[in-house]
Amino acid sequence: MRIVTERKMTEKIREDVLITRHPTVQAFVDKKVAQARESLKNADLYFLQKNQKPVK
Amino acid sequence: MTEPPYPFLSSENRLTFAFESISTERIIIKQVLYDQIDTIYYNLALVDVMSDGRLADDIVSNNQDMPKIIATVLQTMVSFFDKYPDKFIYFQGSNPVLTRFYRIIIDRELNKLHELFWVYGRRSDDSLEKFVPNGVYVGFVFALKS
Repeated sequence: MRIVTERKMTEKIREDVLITRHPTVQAFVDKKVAQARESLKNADLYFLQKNQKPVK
Repeated sequence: MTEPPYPFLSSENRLTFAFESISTERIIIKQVLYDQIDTIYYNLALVDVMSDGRLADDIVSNNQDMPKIIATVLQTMVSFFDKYPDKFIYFQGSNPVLTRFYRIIIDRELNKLHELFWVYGRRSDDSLEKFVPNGVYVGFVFALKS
């Protein structure tokens, strides 16, 4: 799907501020990712793969 | 999900997105962040960007525009999957209340979501299943329908 909204955004907001992750952002996200990694370590990936069937 | 999304900005690698949540009261800058968990999963986080750089995803901004925010996040997911079609997106709330809130939103939008995505729920015993309305989940997984 083509995203047509992005160009409008650059006119309104400073791209360098928004797209660059502040160190506190990255620290926050790193913590979230560590939590997610722990949460998913016992998840059954095979379940996901075998349940993906072609869309009719 | 008829609400149009906010215009948003995307990083070149389609892992960082930003948009403005706008109400008559204020404008809140939000970022949607995708970070690799392992070779398969990417974590999705929706956070407010504070003026001093601090972020939080565990507060309710209450800008009265949640449908528009959700529509925007879904558009970022489409954009993410454009670049990473074989990956899975995982997310969970920072607390049970937020996770339940996300579950309610998925419940409400499930028919629309199924047009684009496979949706799964992770139970507290770490088992995964196809998302069932009113199911009790601690996390959610999205995959692109191809």
